Order: sequence, then C-alpha cells, then structure tokens
Amino acid sequence: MESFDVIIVGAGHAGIEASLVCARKGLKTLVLTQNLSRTGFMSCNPSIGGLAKGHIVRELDVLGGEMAKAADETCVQFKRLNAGKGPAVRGSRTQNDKNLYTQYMSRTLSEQKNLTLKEAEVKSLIIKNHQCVGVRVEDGSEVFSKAVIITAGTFMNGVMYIGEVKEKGGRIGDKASVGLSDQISEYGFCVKRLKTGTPPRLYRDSIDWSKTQVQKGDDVFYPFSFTSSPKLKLPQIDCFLTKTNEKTHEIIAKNLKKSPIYGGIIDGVGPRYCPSIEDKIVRFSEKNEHQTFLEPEGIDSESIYLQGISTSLPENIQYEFLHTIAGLENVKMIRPGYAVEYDFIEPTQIWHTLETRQIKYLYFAGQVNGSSGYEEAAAQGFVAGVNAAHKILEKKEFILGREEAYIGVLIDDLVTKGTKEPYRMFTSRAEHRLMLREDNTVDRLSERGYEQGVLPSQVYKKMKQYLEQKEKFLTFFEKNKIYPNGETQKKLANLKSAPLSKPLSLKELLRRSEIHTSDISLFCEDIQIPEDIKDPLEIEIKYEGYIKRQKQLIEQTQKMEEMKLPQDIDYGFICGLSVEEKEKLNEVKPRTIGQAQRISGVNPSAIQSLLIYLKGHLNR
Amino acid sequence: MKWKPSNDQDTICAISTPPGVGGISVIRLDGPNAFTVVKKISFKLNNKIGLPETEVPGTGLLGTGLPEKPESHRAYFTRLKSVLDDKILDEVIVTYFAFGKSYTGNTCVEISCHGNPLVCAEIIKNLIHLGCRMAERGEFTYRAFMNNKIDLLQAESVLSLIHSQSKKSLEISLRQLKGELSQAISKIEEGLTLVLAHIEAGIDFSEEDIKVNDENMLKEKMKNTHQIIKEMLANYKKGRIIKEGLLVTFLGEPNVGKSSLLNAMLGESRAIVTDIAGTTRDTIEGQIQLKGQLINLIDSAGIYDSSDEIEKEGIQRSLISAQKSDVVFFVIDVLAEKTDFSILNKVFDFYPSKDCSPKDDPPKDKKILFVLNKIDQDINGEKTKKWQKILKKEGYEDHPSCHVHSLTKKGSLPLVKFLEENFSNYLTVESSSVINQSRHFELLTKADLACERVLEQLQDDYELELIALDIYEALVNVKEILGKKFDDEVMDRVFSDFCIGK
Repeated sequence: MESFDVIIVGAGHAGIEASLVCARKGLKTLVLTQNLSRTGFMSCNPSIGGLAKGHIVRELDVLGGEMAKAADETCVQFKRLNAGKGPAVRGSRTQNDKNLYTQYMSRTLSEQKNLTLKEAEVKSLIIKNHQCVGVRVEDGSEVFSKAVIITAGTFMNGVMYIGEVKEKGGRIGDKASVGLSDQISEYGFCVKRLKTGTPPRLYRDSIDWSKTQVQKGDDVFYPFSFTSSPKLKLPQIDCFLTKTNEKTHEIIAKNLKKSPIYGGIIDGVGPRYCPSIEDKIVRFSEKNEHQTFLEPEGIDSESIYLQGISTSLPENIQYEFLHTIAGLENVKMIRPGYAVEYDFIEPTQIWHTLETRQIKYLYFAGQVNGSSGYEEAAAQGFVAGVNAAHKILEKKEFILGREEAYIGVLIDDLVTKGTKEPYRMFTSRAEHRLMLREDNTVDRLSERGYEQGVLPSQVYKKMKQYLEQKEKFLTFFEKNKIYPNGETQKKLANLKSAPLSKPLSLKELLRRSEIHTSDISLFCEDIQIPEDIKDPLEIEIKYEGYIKRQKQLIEQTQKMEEMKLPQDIDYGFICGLSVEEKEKLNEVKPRTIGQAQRISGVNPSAIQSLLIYLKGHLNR
Repeated sequence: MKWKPSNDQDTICAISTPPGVGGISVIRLDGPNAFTVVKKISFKLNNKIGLPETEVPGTGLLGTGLPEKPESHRAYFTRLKSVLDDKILDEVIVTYFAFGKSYTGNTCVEISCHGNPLVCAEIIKNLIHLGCRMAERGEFTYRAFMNNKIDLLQAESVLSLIHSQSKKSLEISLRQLKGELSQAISKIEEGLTLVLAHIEAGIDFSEEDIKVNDENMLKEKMKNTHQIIKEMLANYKKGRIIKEGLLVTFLGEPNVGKSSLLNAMLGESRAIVTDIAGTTRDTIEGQIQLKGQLINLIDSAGIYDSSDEIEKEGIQRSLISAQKSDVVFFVIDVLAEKTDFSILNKVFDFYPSKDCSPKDDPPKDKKILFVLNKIDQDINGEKTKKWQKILKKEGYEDHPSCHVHSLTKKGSLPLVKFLEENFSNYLTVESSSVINQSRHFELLTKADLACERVLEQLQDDYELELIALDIYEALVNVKEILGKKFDDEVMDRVFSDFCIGK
C-alpha cells in the first residue's frame, strides 16, 4: 500500500484542522474516517463559539485554521455574549446550519492539495522502536507514514446508553472504534473513561411554537474570520425558549433508577458544566423550573435541538417528561437523548506539542485528550498538525504561551494538570484574561501565524496594515493634546465629562470611561478613524493600566514559577511528599515549581516541601 | 549524579534549652537511630561499677537501661555512660516518641539531663561519636514541616517562638501554633472565594438561568470579609509590640539625666536585664519586663547643635530612634533655664502626615511623656511649677507629665506607672487573630487595599472582569499567607453553588 507523510485518524473538528495544516505545509496527508458523510459533524449543539470558545475560534483563524471561515459561512444566527460586560469577556457565537457546515468542511478537505480522504476503521498502530510508523486498518492492510495523529473523538471503545439499552458506538448511527485504545494501553498509556450526553432531537412540526418565547440573534454580525465579509451569507433564524416544571421534575425523579448514570451502570465522569437533566434535578432540587432552548439545526432542517435537556433515561420516560413541557405536549422525537462513555488518554502523557511522551511521532488531539467542545478539539488538531509537520520537516516546535492565547492555556492545562472531567474552556481559566481578548487577536497572533507558515501571505499583509493603522492612531492620540479653553470645556460638558485643569493628551482623554473613540473627532476635526479600529483602540487604551496590574499580580504569584527544579531529582527521596505526589512528580518531571504547582494531585504542602527542599539542599 | 537528599535521613541532635547553667537541660535527637544511639550509652544502675540498686522515686520501678521496645511518650529514668572512656555522664530522664507520633514525625528522643554545660557537651560528644550530627538552626521545625506535621503558618510560629523574647509573645505564638490564625485567615479566604465565584459565574455563565447578581449579598459578604482583614491589620501593631517589645526612647538635651533614669529603671529589675553596651555617643539599650511584657528602653545621645561629626551622627540616631519608638520620654532638667522643644518637632516631622502613620498608632498625647527630672534638687518645688507653666505655654498641656528623680529606685517609679497605665491594653492578649509577622502584615495590607477597591467598584457598577481582578489580588495575597496557591477552587465553588448546564 501507499505510504504518506502524515496519517490523521478521524475527520471531526480536530482531524480537519490537523489534516489541512499538514497538507498546506506540503506534506502528503491521509485522513482515515469511518464515515465520510460525517466530516466535521456537529454531534451535539449546532453552534460554534461562545464565551472563551469564541476567542479560540478567532485565534485559530489568525493562525491559519479553517473553523472560523466555516462558521461564518454557515451562520444562521449570531450573538455576541456578554455584550454588556467588559471587552475581555465578550464572546462571539454563531448558530450554524449543521448540514451546510459538514458540506463546507467536506468540500474544503476534498479540494485541498496533498490530501487524501479514505473511509476505513483503524484497528491498531504500527509501532517500531517506540516510534509510530503507520496504521493497520480493519481489512488487515497496513499504511505507512512518518507521523500519526489520533483524533478519534468519543469513538475509542465508545458505548451509548439510552435507559437500559446499551450499544457500542461513538455516536448514534456510527460504530465505535475498538482496539486502538486497548493497544495504546498495552504500550503503558494510562487510559481512562469519560462520559458525555446529548439531548433529544425533536420534529419541528410536532412543536406548538405559540407556547414558546422567541429568542432573536444580534443585528450586527462580527465574523470570526479576519477575511470573512461582515455580510451574512444565509438567512437568519430564531430560537425559542420554554421551561421544565414541577411535573417534569417529578417524572424524572421517579424514574432516576432507570438512568444508567444513577443506576450505577456508567462510571465515566461527566462534565459539571453540562449536567444531564437528571443531575440538575438531583443536585438543585430547590429549583422548580429549568430553561431549555429550542434550536433549529439548520435553515430547512426538520430537526430541533433541545438545549439543556441532555438525558439518558429510557425513550418512553423521555416522552413522558417532554410532554409535560409547554409547547412539547405532543412532541415527537427524531432521536432520544443519550449518554456516551468513551476512552481518553490522561493528557499528562503528552508534551505541549501534543506528541506522546512514550511513542515518538504519535500525536493526540481533541476529545481523546479529555477535552470537550468543537473549538477545543479544533485548536488541538491545529497544534498537533503543525507540530507533526514541523517534526517531519525538522522545524522548530510550535507552542503558544498562556499569556499569548487561550489555545496556550488549553494545552498547558491539559498536559500539566490533566483532567478529571471533559475539559471545557472558561475565561476564568486564563490568568491573563484582560490581555486575551477577541478584539486584539490579530495583535497577539498574526506574527505567530505567519512565522509558522500556513497563514497566507496576502492575509498576513492585510493584518499588518490593520496593525500599522492602529499603531498610527495610538501614537497620534499620545502626541496630540487638548487644552483647557472655553470651547473644549463646553464640549466636555456636553459629553458629561469633567472639565480640564491642564492640557490632556487624547489618549488620556480616551481613558475616561464616558469618552469613546467616536467623540475624538469633536476635538480634532480633520481626523478620520476607520470603523474597524475604533473599538480596539479604545479598549486598548482603557485597559492598559489594568493589564499592567494583572501582569504584576501574575508575576507576584509566579515568583515561584521560574524557580527551576533540577531535572535529575528523584522525588522518591523527598520527605513530605505522598506516594501519589512522588509518582506524579517523577512522571511529569516539572521544569519549574510553577509547573509542579499545576499538576493535579500535587498539594500546596508538597510545593512547600519542594521549596524548603530546594532552599535546604541546593543552597547548602 | 543522582540528586538525592541523604540529609533528611540523618539522625540529628541538639541542646534544646537555652545555653548556660540551669536546673535541667534538654537534648533532643531526631531521626531513625535516635533511640538506638541513646540506648548504647544508657546502662543499668546496678552495673559493674557497683552502685546500689535504687528505686525510681514514686514508680516502684528499678532504674534499668532502656528497654528493647520502648513505649511512645513514656519517660525512662536511666544513667548515661560515656562510650569514649566508660565514665558515668549523668542521671537522666529519656522520653521516647515513636515514628509518626513525635513533633517532627520522625523517631524522636529527649534527654533531660542536669543543666550543666559540661555534662551536655559530653553527652553530645558521645551522640556524635555514635553517628549523630548536630542539627542546624531550625532543622527540627524544618523536619516537622516536611513531614506535614505543621503548616507554613505553624512553622513560622515555631520560628517566632524560638525567637520570642517575652511570655506574651510566647502566648501568641502558641495560639498560632494551634492554628487559630490559620482559621481566621481561612475565613477570609472562604469569603473572597465565594464572592469571586459569584462574579466568575456571572461572566462565564451569563447565558445560564442562574441568579448571580444578588449584589447586596455580595456587598455584604465583601464588607464582612474586609472587616476581618481590617481588624487583623489593626492588631498587627499589637502583635508586633507583643513579639518585639514596647520601644521607649529617652530624649532630651545633654545632661538632663536620661542615662541615670535608664539605669534607675533597669535597676528595678536587674535580674532580667540584658545590657547591650554602646558608646556614650550612641544609643544605649536595656530591657525590662513589665507584667510579662517586654519593654525596650533606649537611652539616646543628648541633642544639641553640635559641630562634631561623630556627635552629629549620634544625634541623628537619637532622632531616628525616637521616631521609631512607641513612646518617647522627653526628659527635662527642672534646674535648667530652658529646653529646646524644637527637638520634638524634628522627631515628629519624620511623619510626613497624620495619614501615613499606622492607623492604630497610639495618639500623640500618649506617645510623649514629659519627664521633669531632678525634683529632689528643687527644694521648694518652684522650679517644677515653673516648668509646668512653660509646658502649658508651649501647647503641651494635654500631654502627660511626671516628676521623677534618679537617685533612688523609687524616683523612677512614675515612669513604670505611666507605661502600665497607658499600655496595659498591649499587656493582655485577647484576640487570637493577632498577626506578628511582617510578611503577614504586608500581604494583608495588599489584600486590604484590593478589597477597598472591590467595594468601590461594586458600588459603581464596574466591569465584572475588572472587579474580579481585584478580588483575585486580595485572594492571592491571603493565600500566600497560608502558603497556598490559587487553583480551581473558584470553579469548584461555581459548580457547587449554581445549576449550570446547557
């Protein structure tokens, strides 16, 4: 059989980014998937982005990824979340036409040069001398390559549950991938189970829409991609809101035992931020209603996604409780909600490049690393792809810092802390939150995108122009002053801003909370500020002081961060560490105290021991 | 080379009682061989030296060598014999603490021997000969800390215990050791975590159907937490005085009798005085204890317009000393015609403004005591009356003054009485949350400022992520006191408090 540079196992959100980046770097790339019609399939909610996730999508775009373009192209509703809150925590979210999204991604992959798509189930890896050199597929044939990236999502030993019905598979309609994770575990990897769930899909026509409240999208569309037009391609649609009630809860509570999770059949850990309706009712029994959104899965789709009601109760019970909800009295399900339990590898076993520590040229990305979400998966796919390609091409590693990007936070968290539940990104996970904003993504990452080489040079050029223009106005604001004369004071009074006592630079003026970029032209008549930099300029100026303080604070907490730990420490000999801590530390071999602190299971007292140990033994 | 700590496995020893002759001294051993080493030098009372078998008073037991398997926390009466020359060293009590049950967590032995430095030295010599090594300063505490027997706060308390100079200071350190301070700080941590969790939930889960905007509750919680911090800060001064002692400086022109007053006061309690000699041109210190509270007395160089470089330096030091002091005794010779009150201004000009002095500083009128000295030589008391009038004229009538002479012990008693009356609140320990480490003070001060900003911002409807920054700052500093690191607890809190999930 033919041989390739890189083989990507899986064509979900991680697999797509990984394969595109490899192919675009000129490597001969093969994508193997069990079902080509489900390329880039949205297995759960039909939307891209959200708080912190929207940041990731924009970051990917500036680095040269594909997700942002697909999301813009197939957007059927746009919302800027937290629009009323500060700029650092605003997040864009599109709702997408699920089928069109899949079509867009299939088209992009098939049109991509150097990229071959094939339907096949990978049964095992070919490993020689701790190096992955190819894969074996179900018919027993072998395909050789220089590197392999596993992006198998929830498919490794996936089991689906609907009540007492248990079936092998990673998603309804698709079979599980059996054998791969068993082989990996034989090679000494720690493989664990996680659980996730998805709500029922309902027939559009079986819903009484008059009993629901309409939820509209925003009027203004801010595309994810730097290159997308701010004009929407598709007609926009509405979502609808309804609520559960005490009757609903009663039925669920009565049937808890029939839920595989409460019946003790599933032992994988589910995400706390995305509990099943069973969970919500048990843990927050004082609430007598829960919101649920009815989200169409596409413009012409007959399928409605019932957000917030993920469940694995038996089908008849699902019907019973759905019928108690306003608008759903006569609802028919296309498919009931279900839970999936699957294998993931403890991500502390991979490097920041997403290559495994045990086996060279083997990469893992996405849910197989314990993450959750399309965006988190795509980001890892991209980083794994770049690094696999760079390793083959003998170029330098591509690692984003925690202060550079949410993608950096995501990967650093996973590979140093590991995870107990499906890992989702939150803004609060980023200690440099004020710095990592959607509005300055280009500022933060365009150089990184360009230097690693998949960002097209004409796009990079445009980004540079944008940044130069921003810089030009920043300097202008710094250098030009307004003076305390009658006219100025009057203008300020009109803007409900305090009068001047001494000359003030435009920059200082803009720092006042009530003054906005558009007000600057009142004081400086011949100035023409392009629309697209107005907000970014203002945010940058207003946030400058806070960002500085955040940095200082991080420095204070990270005094220890830079404290180096010798690489040849045998932690087994250090007093004051638990057996678990000794094992973990010996396994991870942290480079710094800071990294040691982030290892889960390593307690503060252990860090104190390390500090005292360093002090007591290194300086002696 | 493999980098491994052999030191932690050593058996260490040290004399744990203060140096010098005392009733008994305690030698402590720590490490795997602690007991076996001591056993090697112990012997039965009725051994070949032929001494009569004696009963250990009150126990009915005969003194023997140490048993093979000692009981933890039990004291054994035995004799020690030198392995170097077979001489009897001493009759001692050996207390054994089993592995895991001692202060450090290791096997530990305490030998209570007679308090003679020579005896102690001989025993130590034997222990070292048998493979022990001398403990380094604070090493027992280090081991306790390493074995998770004490937390960082407790470790620091022990160190402060080792260095504490008075009984009151000891009490506070003991309280900290019991974890009372840890508990008080944990309460602050808990409050801040709750508020931050609510704010973060409002940011990351704003789309969820959760109520996080109960502003009044958050404000209330924040205010309460801030209040605890403020109280602890206010107690710092107290904690500092308790630990380091009240600082009292004698200030005045040359030859007004400062030194003799100091000597008179020290004479009252000579047994516990430690004099540190200085030159006559420098400050001279002495310490007394008053109701268990340490008082540092500082005699300073007389202040006048000198042209001598060395004297000028001495005078400068006097001013600085007075400025740092909790109390200034401004000494006036009643026989003198006049005195230079501008000295006082020089001292208090060091305070740039009222706001900069610590909030809980004693008020100025308590800070300065006018000491009219040499009243024994003012036969009819007229000169003293004259000086009282002068004080009134100079605007110091609200300040306390007293009349003393330094010829007898009694002459200086009014000074002691003044300290007792005005600083009695520092002489009692009522609050358990007294902090006495400057590190804690610094960190809490940062937390205090951050909390103040949070309260303002909550009032003004600030951007949530900016408020979060300040709460985070407060939390980071509070956690540093406990030696903890910011982790996932805020998110854990969010998930446990709110029903989140789409």
